[in-house]
Amino acid sequence: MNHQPTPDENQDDLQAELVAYLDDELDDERRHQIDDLLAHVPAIRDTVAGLGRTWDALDHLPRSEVDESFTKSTVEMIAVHAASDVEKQTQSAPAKKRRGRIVAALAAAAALLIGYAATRAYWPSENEQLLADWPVIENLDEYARVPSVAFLGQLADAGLFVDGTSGEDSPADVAASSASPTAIDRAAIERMAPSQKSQLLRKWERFGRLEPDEQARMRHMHAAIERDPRAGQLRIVMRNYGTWLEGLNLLEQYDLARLDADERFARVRDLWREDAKRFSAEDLPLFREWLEQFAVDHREELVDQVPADDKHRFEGGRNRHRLTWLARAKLVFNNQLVLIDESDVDKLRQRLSPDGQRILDEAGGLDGKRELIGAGLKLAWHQAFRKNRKDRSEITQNELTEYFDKHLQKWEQDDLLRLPSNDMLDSLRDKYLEYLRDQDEGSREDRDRPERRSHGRPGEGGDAPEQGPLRSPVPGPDA
Amino acid sequence: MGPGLAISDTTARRYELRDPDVRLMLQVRDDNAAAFEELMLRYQNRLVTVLEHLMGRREMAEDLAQDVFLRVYRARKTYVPGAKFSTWLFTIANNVASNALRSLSRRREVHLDARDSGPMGANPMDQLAVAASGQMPTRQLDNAEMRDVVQTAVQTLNDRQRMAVLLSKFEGMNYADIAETMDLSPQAIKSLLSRARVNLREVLQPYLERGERPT
Repeated sequence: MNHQPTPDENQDDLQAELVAYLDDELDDERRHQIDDLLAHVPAIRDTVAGLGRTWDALDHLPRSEVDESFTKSTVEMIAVHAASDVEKQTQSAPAKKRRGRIVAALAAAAALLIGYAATRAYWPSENEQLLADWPVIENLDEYARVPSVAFLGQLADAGLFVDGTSGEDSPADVAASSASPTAIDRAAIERMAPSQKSQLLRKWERFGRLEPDEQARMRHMHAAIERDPRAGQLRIVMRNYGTWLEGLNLLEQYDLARLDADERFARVRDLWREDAKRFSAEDLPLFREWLEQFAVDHREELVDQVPADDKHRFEGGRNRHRLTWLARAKLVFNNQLVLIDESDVDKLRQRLSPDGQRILDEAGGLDGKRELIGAGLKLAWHQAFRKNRKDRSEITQNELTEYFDKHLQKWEQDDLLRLPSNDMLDSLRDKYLEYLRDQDEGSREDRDRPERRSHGRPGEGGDAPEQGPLRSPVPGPDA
Repeated sequence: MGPGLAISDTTARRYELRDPDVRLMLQVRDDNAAAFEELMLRYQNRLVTVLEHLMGRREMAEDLAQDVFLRVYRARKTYVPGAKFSTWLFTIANNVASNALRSLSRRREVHLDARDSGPMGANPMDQLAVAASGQMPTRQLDNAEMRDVVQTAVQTLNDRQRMAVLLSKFEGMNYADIAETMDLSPQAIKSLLSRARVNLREVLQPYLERGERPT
């Protein structure tokens, strides 16, 4: 027997159709049917109007706004949970874990009750182990953050987190801050203040809760650092890396901790480069001024890298723009940051604001400063070209192609073609905009120099010659 | 590759192309912490708004929102775009909120009332004590009062009606997205929203027309 809808069911269906009509959820046919009903049945019109009014009234419901502390606490909470997840995943047999925790808990409870010195008397073997592990336990956080000695070596080789200049240990490297933390004995522990003992105990407990493999890894790492000829420097890198890491938000710390040593090094270097973003908008233009000076100071080294046929274009005193572009190409595009020496760093430092100087000082050794300067140069040019964003979008493919074909030297083209396609296009647009800007500047200066030809934009039917001034890397007033 | 996986790949690619938040979530999947923070910044107010109206308590809403973000982060490695990001996020929110409402209900040991009596709910009019407030149809409506009245009206809906209404009103979701979020069919959402709207009209209309406040 077929179910016959009751009047209430029919009423419910009609209400649902009317609400769906208001929500724009009906197909065309059904919507037209409702339109007809509305046109001819006043009661339905009233119903729909009432539903609409009450729905609109819901606009008065307040919308919540959370503050920054919510965001911060959420990130921290997630980082803590995520780290805890990792810890759980890496822990092995439950029985072993329970036993470790019981031992640690007993140690903690006993020590709290009768003091660390008394504990020592009851558990001499644990204390012997504590003394043996002291260098690791004292620097537990630092050892936990570093995956391997090789990782520290990579950081040191890249000049990251190195105090002073990079290279072999200097006397300063083996100063107190980098001294091997091995000098400890029972008497030293007994002389500790209660708060120090408590802190030591907490670290010991944490160390005790680690898996035996992780404990062994830390012990081996400590031994390897001690054997390394650069031990002092590696300890400084480890300490500075830890301090830097604490400055990251917990989520970033967690993400780093999940990477293997090579990936972690690459990510650290990227984050380090991002530090350049801390330079203020006032400091960034000073990078460009500094580059002009750098280009002049390093003219010979730079021009040496240009093919013999093109060297003459960099001779004389009227090629500053071209030389500056060459310096930028070598430092930024070809990553020849090694050209920057300490004197160059000092010259840049003198130009920067106190905040800028501090950022540069915090970059560690010469290699770290070079990395930071390279990143700063990129940002400085991005800042300069940001003003031309509209112009960038208006550049046509034809213009770029013509500029590439007719106005770049073969070696400049090769340099660009070696870049990934997106970087190549960006760099080509940058160069082209710089070329246009220099042309504008040149035009202004040329008002008093009638012998100079004026040129239209490539692709706009201008009279750009294939030879002569415009066949320079950065045609400008000096070309 | 089976046909199911091929469809899944196509779907994932479609959402990746259309939804910038899906692209952000894919960066989160690749351990980009900045992308996760960006997603949080984009959604935290929206999420807390819905949860606050759903739970009726700001503090609990914030706790639940944190739980939602934690689940998003924990799920990142297995994330495959199968819907708009907002739909996926509010699906998690709906699950978290449903669990919280259930445990809240158990803790309070409340007997079933209109809000927990199933999709139909009870007649909202039964819950109202109508106050004669001057019988003034043209009375100037105070915004704060209006807000209180509307909040009261929303609280008369049962949990599922309220969630559907909030997703529709605040998130602008269509029936299909609400259905996916709440794990119901679009037809069920149509009925749910219809009953919710009728209930809201019955509660609010006396106030809007005659100034009679629900209490």
